[in-house]
Amino acid sequence: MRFLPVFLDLRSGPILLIGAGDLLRAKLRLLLAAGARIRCYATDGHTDLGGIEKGEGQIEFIEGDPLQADFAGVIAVFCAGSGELGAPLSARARALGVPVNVMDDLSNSSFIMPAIVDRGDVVVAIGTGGTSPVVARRLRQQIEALLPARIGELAGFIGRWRKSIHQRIPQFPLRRKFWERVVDGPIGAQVLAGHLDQADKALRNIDNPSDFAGASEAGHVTLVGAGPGDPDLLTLKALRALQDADTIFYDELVSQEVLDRARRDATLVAVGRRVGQPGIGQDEINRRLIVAANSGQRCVRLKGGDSLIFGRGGEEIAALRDAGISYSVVPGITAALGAAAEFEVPLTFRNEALRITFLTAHKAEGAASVDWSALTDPKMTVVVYMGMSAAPQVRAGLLAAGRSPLTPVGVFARVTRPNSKAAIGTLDQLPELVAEVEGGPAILIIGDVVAHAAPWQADSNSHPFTPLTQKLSEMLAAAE
Amino acid sequence: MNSAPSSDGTGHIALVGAGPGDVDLLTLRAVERLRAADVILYDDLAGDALLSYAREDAELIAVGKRAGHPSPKQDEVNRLMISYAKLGKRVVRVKAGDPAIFARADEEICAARAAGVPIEIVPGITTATAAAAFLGTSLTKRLVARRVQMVTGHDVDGALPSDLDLAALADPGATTCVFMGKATFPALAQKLIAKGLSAETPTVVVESLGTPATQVIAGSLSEIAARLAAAKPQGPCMILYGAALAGVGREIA
Repeated sequence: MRFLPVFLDLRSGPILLIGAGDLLRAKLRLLLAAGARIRCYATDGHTDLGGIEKGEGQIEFIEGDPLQADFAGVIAVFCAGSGELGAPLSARARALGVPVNVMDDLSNSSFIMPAIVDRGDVVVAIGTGGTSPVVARRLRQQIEALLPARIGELAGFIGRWRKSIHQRIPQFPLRRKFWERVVDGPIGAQVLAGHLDQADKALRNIDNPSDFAGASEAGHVTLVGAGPGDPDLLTLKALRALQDADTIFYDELVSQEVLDRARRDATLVAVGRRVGQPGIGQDEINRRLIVAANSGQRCVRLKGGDSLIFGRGGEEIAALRDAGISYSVVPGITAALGAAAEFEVPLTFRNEALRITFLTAHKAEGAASVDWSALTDPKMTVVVYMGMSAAPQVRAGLLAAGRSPLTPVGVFARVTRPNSKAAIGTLDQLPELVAEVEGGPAILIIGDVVAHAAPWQADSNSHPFTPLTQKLSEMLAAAE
Repeated sequence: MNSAPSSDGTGHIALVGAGPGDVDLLTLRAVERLRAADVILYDDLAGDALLSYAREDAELIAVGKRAGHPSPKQDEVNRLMISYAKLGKRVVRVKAGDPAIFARADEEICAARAAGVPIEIVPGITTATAAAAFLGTSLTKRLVARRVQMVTGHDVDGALPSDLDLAALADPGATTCVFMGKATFPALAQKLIAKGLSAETPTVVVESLGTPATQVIAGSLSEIAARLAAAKPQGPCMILYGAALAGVGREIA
């Protein structure tokens, strides 16, 4: 190790920054965000910050010869895009004993900049001794994916409580155990979920910290939305929950590719109902979640799409609450949004589609209980989940509500998966379109917006009857 | 159709859903596109934290949009996006929430198609479901809320849209998510009650979701106007109302 990582207190004095162009801007952005006071020579004369936020008096642009710069009080010198000025500036800084970094010029630098993962109070610096910025960047990406964004808030939270806990648990080994239980347990999970108030409350409510530190580990349940199927549509938070879980209870709509992202030694339990086969039932799922969490396991309840739209996540939350189990919820990309993205269907459209409704029509009896009269508005996009088998009833309901039989309709099956398929047509043709996609699960989208979908556009000759196509070609012409 | 960027130097536009503000709710694909971008167009609502995923030499362009301030001309944003893409750049246009919902992605898709530039939509967590996750409540509930609807609380001029479908909005069997509605919600609540929706309907306002400053204001439909006036939320708000939200937000607020 030639370079020792140290952390510089930016409040101890100003930074001198010299350079030009995008490199200077990038350095400015980094230093400003870190809270530095900066004396800056922009040798290209561009002092426009282009939307970079800055605080009062944080930056001073100086004109004139950078080689004559005033080094008084300066804690570090940065050169970024400074060209031939780098070497003489470096010589002068070194003569004055001020640390200096010349970007991409190791021989003229007395310190080098690490790749940084910034999480507030928690900062990770990655150095490769100046040998390979690419390796450092790659490492940064891996660490970024690993570290929750709110880890800095967790550190700050512990910082605020540290003193009072120190007083209450004087013995170090027990105190360390206490904090480990906070970080790994429900309280840490609350902070990371953004519920700082509740975490404060939970910590305040610990009557006897020594007992808390000595008690057996409490489990936790995370309800995770797996998204529509493509594993790259998992959120960072969902991925972390999967990699952290001891046991994962999943539905059959969760794709294998998503399950592949789970921790290798996690126990995977299928609890979903399959077509034609009943699952274990909601009560049994609730019971198993509670048993697993009570035995100290970190559980993930993994559902396709988002757990809180037609996912019965609410019932699981209620059961966990009643049982006093700590839980958190990670939202997912609901299937309709997966379809909208993959097939380029904007669900809202200026002046044409001002509202969206999401409903389920599972089988005919499900469709029969939908209040179709609330769906008359032609400016409302209607999204139907689980509506394949009830397609004739969906059509009848919307026609009875006064929707035009020529309303554009899309049936989007297995969205974001390799075998996804769309069938596009009109409301009149809905049952035929459902047959075209050859199996579910599928989302039905009904409304004028479907005419903007990529498949409709690609195939617009076959749908010459809608006034929208005409309107769209006019719009496109106007946009040219 | 929804094309990923190619490596042959052709320009490309990705409309990337940034979710509700918490960068951990970015999808893996969104992170990938941000990292690969040559140019990132972002607005304030999307939050700055996600820019930490940008390459050091990426060009970051603020096309700021804040509630209450005039939006930048959409045409100008389209023009920028397309010109950069035509220079062979990989352009990311960041959208708060999901691009397909109240994000004007419609106009950007049309403009890119008209210009012959490949475009891709990367979905994001919509603020509505993120709010539900934060509150720990389902938007649907068996036998109570069979339908979820999403509406915007203001039209292009910032006023309550004039052609509201009140019959649908006052449906007691739906959960309604109102985007960008904090200024106009008191007026909407009055209309809903006049249309016959119970004044007791549970209503929850979530302010600045996905930031450390998240606040929750809960009350009945008839109480919420006074609570909004008292709390004066500064940040963007998602407003949810409907019977499925009974008891929600009270232990948090």
